Amino acid sequence: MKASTMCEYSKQEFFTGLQVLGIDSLEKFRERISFMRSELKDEQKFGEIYNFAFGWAKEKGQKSLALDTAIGMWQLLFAEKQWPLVDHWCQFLQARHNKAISKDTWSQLLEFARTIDPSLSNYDAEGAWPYLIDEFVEYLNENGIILSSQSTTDWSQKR
Amino acid sequence: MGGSLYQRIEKECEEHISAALRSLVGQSPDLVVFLSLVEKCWQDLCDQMLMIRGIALFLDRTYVKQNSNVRSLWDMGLQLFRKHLSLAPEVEHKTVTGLLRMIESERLGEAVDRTLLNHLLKMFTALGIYSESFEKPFLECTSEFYAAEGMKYMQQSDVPDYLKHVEMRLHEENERCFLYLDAITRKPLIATAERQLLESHIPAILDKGFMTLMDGHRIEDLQRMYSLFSRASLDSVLEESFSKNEAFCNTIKDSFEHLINLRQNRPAELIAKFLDEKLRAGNKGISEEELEGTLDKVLVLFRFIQGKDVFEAFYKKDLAKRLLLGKSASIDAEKSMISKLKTECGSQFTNKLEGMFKDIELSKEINESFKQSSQARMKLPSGIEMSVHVLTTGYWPTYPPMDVRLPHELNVYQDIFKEFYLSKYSGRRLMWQNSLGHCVLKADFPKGKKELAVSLFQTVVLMLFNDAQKLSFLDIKDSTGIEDKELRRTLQSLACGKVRVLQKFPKGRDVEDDDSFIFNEGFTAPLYRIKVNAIQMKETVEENTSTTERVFQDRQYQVDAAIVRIMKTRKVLSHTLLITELFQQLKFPIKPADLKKRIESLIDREYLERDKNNPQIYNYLA
Repeated sequence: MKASTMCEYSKQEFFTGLQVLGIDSLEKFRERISFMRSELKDEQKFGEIYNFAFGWAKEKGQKSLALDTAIGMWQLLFAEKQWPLVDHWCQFLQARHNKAISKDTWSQLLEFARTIDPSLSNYDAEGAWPYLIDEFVEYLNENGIILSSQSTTDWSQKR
Repeated sequence: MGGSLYQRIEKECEEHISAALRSLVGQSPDLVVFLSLVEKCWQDLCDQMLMIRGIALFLDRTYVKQNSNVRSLWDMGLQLFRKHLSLAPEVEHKTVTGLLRMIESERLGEAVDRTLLNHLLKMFTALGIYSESFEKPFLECTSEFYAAEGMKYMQQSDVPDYLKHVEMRLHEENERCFLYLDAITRKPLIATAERQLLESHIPAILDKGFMTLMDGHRIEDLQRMYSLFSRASLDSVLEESFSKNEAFCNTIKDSFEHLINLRQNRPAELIAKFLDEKLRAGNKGISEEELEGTLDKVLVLFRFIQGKDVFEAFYKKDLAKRLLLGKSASIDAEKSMISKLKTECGSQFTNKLEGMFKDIELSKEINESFKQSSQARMKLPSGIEMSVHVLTTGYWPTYPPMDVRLPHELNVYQDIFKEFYLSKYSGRRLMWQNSLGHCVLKADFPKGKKELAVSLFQTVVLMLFNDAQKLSFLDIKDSTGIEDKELRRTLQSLACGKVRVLQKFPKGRDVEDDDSFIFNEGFTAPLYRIKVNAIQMKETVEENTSTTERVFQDRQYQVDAAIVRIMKTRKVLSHTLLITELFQQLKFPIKPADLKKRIESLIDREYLERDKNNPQIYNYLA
């Protein structure tokens, strides 16, 4: 991942990359790709890749990541590591946010995807989640995508 | 011998009294007539007993005194009356009913015989049966009456009218206690009325009326609402325990505060505007005492506002205008208001406001010196009078810099003053606030000379017509360099208002791009000196929005500073604790969501970071 510009590899960069990976045949290349795919499944590795992606994808000299790029990246990254809310997240951003994504929001989103279950039952609104994520939860509640659970009574337990 | 005389008198009295009372039984179905009969009966008794006592005074003074178990003649008479009244219960009952009916009629607006009521109630008191026989049923009746009235009026009137009605009723009931009811009835009576007219309707009143009153700047009505509500709770101390009462009082206060602050900044803005109107010159017919009273009332409401910084910003802006344009009704009233605010909020709140007054006074001295100075005497042309207010930045509101190309002469005068000032106070920087300037222009109209009191911008525009007969809007814009919107406002005030020193073509209220203006040859006016600069006192919507925005911007800085200060001390702090600390430190209302935004901004700017292991914790980045 030493390419200087996202998605554009110079021939030189391509060959250097392959050398680093120890690939000198097509067979090894195929193996390596599936191995790398499986690496993505590893939590920590994924985290590293994910957080690296922010710096890599943004324009030089900008602090934040343009929204379109961010959405594209998220679609890509979460295709491998399933997160059921990714589409809603992207829709929400396009409808309500329309601004660039800060580094903090980017990294906290991964935390969110990892630790909060899709029904939002363990989401704490008073917590330190970035404001944008709070808004996302509100959006999900407002649009009936997630039904906010009030206290439920287990009638079977009542005497 | 005394004993047997006493007994014979007693026997005679008893026979007479019992006969008199029995004769009332079945008398007159008309209650008022009946009551008069009762009154006569009572009056007769009193007169007769007095006479008997007068005649047998010696008996009272000797026999009665020597025998402790023997009543005085007067008391004996009373006791006999009471005894036989209780033996004819329908008489007592009919009397009470009659009295209650009369009071109800009076409440419904009829005129009743108050003397009759007075006498009969005194009778009850003398007989010692007032509380049991009259007061109890009276209070019940009152309760029913006002319960019904309260419901009816709540449905058919709006809240301000309802509250006025309630106030009137309470006043009425109070009067009743002076006119015929015994004084001991006052407290429970008022409490009953308040309970039925107010307490049971408080939620509805607050729901229905509060917002309307806030929207309509109805400070007096709001004040009435608050004082009625707080009285209602205080008077029910009689009925409830202290703790219940305090809770109620606090609930009123809390709900009031909650409601006032639901509308965010409007109350602060409205209260400041209200004060501006009262403190401005032109309030005819309001005495100093009335003004003081109003100011005190306003302070009551002021106490409920959270986010007093918004109030300060508006108050300051309006005070500045009044001081600079000389529009204060009374400097004493202004200073009185400031000291009231100082008592409420501490000197930090009012330091800047007091600074404004100092600047005004100092400016007077500076102008005196300026007049005497060599610069003024030698360089200012005679016939030009110039005075300058020198404002210390920081005390006064911030004025957006307004560009204008002054005519050459005016520039020169400004430089002359500057030279003088800097010779006295070196090391200072002066910036002219042209939007606040105003002038008196001598104008030569064919139909007569006039003096026009105008703003500086108006002056600049008018002076162009010294060299030209007709000018287009765009010409004027080029020559003066005044910002578009401001220029249109200025031209409107000169050509489209009551006083038209210029004429606009084509005619119309608004200034359009291709309008032209000419000097109004035919201008006349009854007065010699004419005010055309009223627009300076008016505020634009933009002004208000920008005032509020500046306060919010300022709050953002304060939040940022507080976060950095807290994190610098603590180094490591959880999100929840940080928020708690912030709420303790910040003196204005702010939502947790807004605090989050500032935290994120500071993370972005690398003042803090989230802890690597626990994103709910922040670390300070030195």
